[in-house]
Amino acid sequence: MSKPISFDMTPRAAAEEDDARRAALLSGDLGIDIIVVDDQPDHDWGWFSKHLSGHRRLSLESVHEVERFLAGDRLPNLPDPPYEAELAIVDLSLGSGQPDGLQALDTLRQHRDTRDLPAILNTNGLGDYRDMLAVLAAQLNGGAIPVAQKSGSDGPAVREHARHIAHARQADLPWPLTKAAPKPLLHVQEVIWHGDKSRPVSLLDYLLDLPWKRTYWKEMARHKSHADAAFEARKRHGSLTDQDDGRKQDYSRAVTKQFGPVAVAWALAGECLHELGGRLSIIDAQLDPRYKEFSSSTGAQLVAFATKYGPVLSSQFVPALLDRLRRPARDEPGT
Amino acid sequence: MYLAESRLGRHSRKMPTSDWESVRQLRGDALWKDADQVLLTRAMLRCGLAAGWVTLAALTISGGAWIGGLPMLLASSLSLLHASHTVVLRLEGRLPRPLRRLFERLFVYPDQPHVNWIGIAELLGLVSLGMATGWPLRLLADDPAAAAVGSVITVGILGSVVANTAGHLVWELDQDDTAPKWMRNVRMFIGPFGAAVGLALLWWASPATPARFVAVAGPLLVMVGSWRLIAQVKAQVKDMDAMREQTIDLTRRQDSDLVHSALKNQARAIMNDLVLIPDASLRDGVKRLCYNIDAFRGSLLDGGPSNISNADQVLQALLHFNTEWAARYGASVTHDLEAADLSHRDAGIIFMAVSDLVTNAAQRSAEHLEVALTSAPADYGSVLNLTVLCRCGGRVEPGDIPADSSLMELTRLVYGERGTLRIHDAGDGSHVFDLAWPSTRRPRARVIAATEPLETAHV
Repeated sequence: MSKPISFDMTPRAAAEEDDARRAALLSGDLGIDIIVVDDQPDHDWGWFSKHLSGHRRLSLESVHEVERFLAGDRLPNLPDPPYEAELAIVDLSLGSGQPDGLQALDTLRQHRDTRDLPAILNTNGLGDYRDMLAVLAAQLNGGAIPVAQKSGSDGPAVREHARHIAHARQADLPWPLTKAAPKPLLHVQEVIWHGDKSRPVSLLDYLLDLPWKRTYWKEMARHKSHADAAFEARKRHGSLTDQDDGRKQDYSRAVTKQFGPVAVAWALAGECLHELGGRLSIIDAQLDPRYKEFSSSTGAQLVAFATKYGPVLSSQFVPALLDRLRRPARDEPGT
Repeated sequence: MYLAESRLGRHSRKMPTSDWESVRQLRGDALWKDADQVLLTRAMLRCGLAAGWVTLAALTISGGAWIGGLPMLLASSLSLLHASHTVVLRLEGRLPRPLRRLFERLFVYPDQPHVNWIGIAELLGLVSLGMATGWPLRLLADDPAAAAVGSVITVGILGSVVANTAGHLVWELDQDDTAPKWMRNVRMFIGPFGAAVGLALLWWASPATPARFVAVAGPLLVMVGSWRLIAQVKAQVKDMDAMREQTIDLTRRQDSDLVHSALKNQARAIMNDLVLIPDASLRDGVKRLCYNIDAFRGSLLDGGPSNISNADQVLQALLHFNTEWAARYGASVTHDLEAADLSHRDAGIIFMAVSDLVTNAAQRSAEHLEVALTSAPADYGSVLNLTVLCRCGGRVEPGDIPADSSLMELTRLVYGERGTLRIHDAGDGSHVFDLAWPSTRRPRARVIAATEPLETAHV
C-alpha cells in the first residue's frame, strides 16, 4: 500500500495564470479587467483562460449580479478589488427565464461608470431571434456592436480587440463604442429601414413606434394568426368593437401593407438582420440577384418574420428600451 | 425578459404548430386578392354602362328621359367606391369618429354572407333603371333602336349585379357556416329571379323585335351565366383548398422527416442507415451506441439545461450511455442539493465536474464511486462542496497530471470562480476529488431516497 497523499491543484492553475499574464506583458499585451456576463462558468472548457489569459475575468452570471457589482457589492467569485473594467463580454442568453444579455448591456449603459465601456456580444450563433437582439444591442450601443461566436476561431480576434482597447486606454485615447472589431468578429449595426415613401427610420422604431403595432406583435407571438392580430390591434387602439368582427379582412390587409414590404425585403436579403450592414430597403432587395428566385406571398413572409421575431418584439423590455432610446433623440435641440 | 418559448404548444423543437390557421388565412388572402380585382372591374363596367345609358337617352330622346339613368349611375359609383377598398380605408382613416362609424357600417367586407347596404342601393338603382327602360316608364320607347340598346345596357348591368351576388366569394369563404344554411342555398335562385324581373320589366321597353329579343335572350343568358359562375367560383375555391391540403400535408411530412433527420436527431439518422453495415455484431454495437447517445442527448437537451443542475441529475443523464454503468453507479450520489436552489454558474461547475470525474471513474471500472454535493453557509451565501470518491485501484499523483488533462481544465474552471480543487489519495487504490467554490445562493440539501429507480433509456 502506498503512502496517502493530499495535494491542492489550485496553485498550479494560479501559477499558469501568472505565467500567462507575464508572457502577455512581455509580448506587449496589457492586462485589463474584463466583465464577462455569462450564465455558464468559463464555457467551452476555458475559452476565456485560453484566449484572454493575460486579463482578469470579472464573472457575472445574471443581470442581478451586474447590478450588485455596479452597486459595489462584493461578489464571492470575483478576484480581489479594486476593479477597473475596460471591456465587457456579454452573452446574449443568460438562461431560460432570466433577463437576457440585452438587459445586462442596458444595465451597463445606464451606470455612469460603465456608460462608455466597450462591449462585445458573445453568443453561440445568431440564427434565431437573437439576430434581432444583436441589432437591438447595436442600437443600444449607439449604432453598432462587435459580436463574437463562442468558438475557438473567434478567440484570437477577441484577444486582439482587447489588446487594442488596453493600448488605447493606456494612451488615454477614447474608444468609440461603435468601432469595428477585427475580423472574423461580426460588426452588427443598427438596421435602418429605407421605405419607399417615408424617410429612413430605425427598423425597430418602425416596427414598434405606435401602440397598435406593439399589440399586433404581441398578438402574433401569442396566436400566430395574422388576421386576428391585426384586428385585435385595431380594436384596442381604434374605433372598432367586437360587433365589427367581420371586418378582420380589411385590417389584415392594411397591416400587411404596413409591414409586408419590411418582411419581403428581409426575406430577399437572406433573413439575416445582422448581415445587412445596417440598411434594409425593398429597392436594394429587389436589385439583389436572389430576387428572381423569390416566390412567396407578402402575407407568408410577414408570418415568417413574426414567427421569428414575435417573441422579441412582444417582450416588455424591448419597447420600453426603444422608448427610452428615442426620448433623448427627440429631446435634442435641432441643429 | 424571457424569450424562450414554451415547448408545450410545439410538437417538435422550433417548429410552430399553430401556423395552419395562418395558412387558412393566406388562402383567404389569395382568393380575396383575385376577387377584389374582379369586383372592381365589374363595378367599373356597371358605372360605364350606366353612364352609357344616360348618354344614350340624352342623345336620342328629347326631354328629361336621361334623368331615369341617374339613380343607377349614382348607385354604381358607390359600388365602385366599395370595390376600391384601399380608398375606403384611407377615407375612413381621415373621417371624424361619427362619420367613420357610418362608413364602417356601409362599407363592409366580411368573410360570410352579410347585409350589404351598398349592394341594396345598387339593386334599387337597377330596378329604377329597368323601370325607366321598360315597364312602367318606357322612357326610350320613342326610338326602337335606343330601346333595344337601352335594354342591352340594362341586361348588362343586371348580369353584372347577378354575378356579384350569386358568384361572390363570401359564399365559399364561410367555412365555419356562420351564416344560415338557407342563405347559402338561396344563391342558386338569384339568377332566375333576376332574369324573371328583368324580363317582366324590359318586355315593355318597346314592341320592336330587337328590343323584345334582348328582353328575352338577355335575362336567359344572365340566368344560365349565374349558374355557370357559381360552379366556377366553387371550382376555384375547391382547387385552392386542394392546394392548401397538399401544402399542409407536405409541410407535415417534411416536419416529420425533420424530427428524425440529422438536423434534429443525429442518432436516429444513423440508425435509419444501419442496414448499410453488413456485420451484425458491429451493427448491434452502433445501434446500442445510438440509443445511448439519443437518451443522453434527450436528457441533456430536450429536458432543458435547467433539468440538469444537481449531482444526481448529471449522474443519471451520464449513465444513460451505458446500462452496465447505470446498474453499477446509479445510486452513487450520497448527498445532494436541491436543483432549483442552484445558480446557473453552480450548475455549470457541477455538470462539468461530475460528468468528467464520473466518466473517468467508470472508464476505469471503479469498484466504488461516491458523489456528495453539500453546502456550508457563508456571509455572502454559501460555499459549495463537491466530493467524488473513486476506488479504481489506481493512484493519482501531482506529477501524473498533464497540463492538457481534463482534471487541469476542471481546476482552471474552479479556480476562475475563486474555488479550489484538492485531491486526497489514500494509497489503497481510492482517491477523493474535493472541489469547493463560493456561491451567492444558499441551496437546501436534497433528501436522497434509499433506492431511486433509474430511468430506462428510451428507444
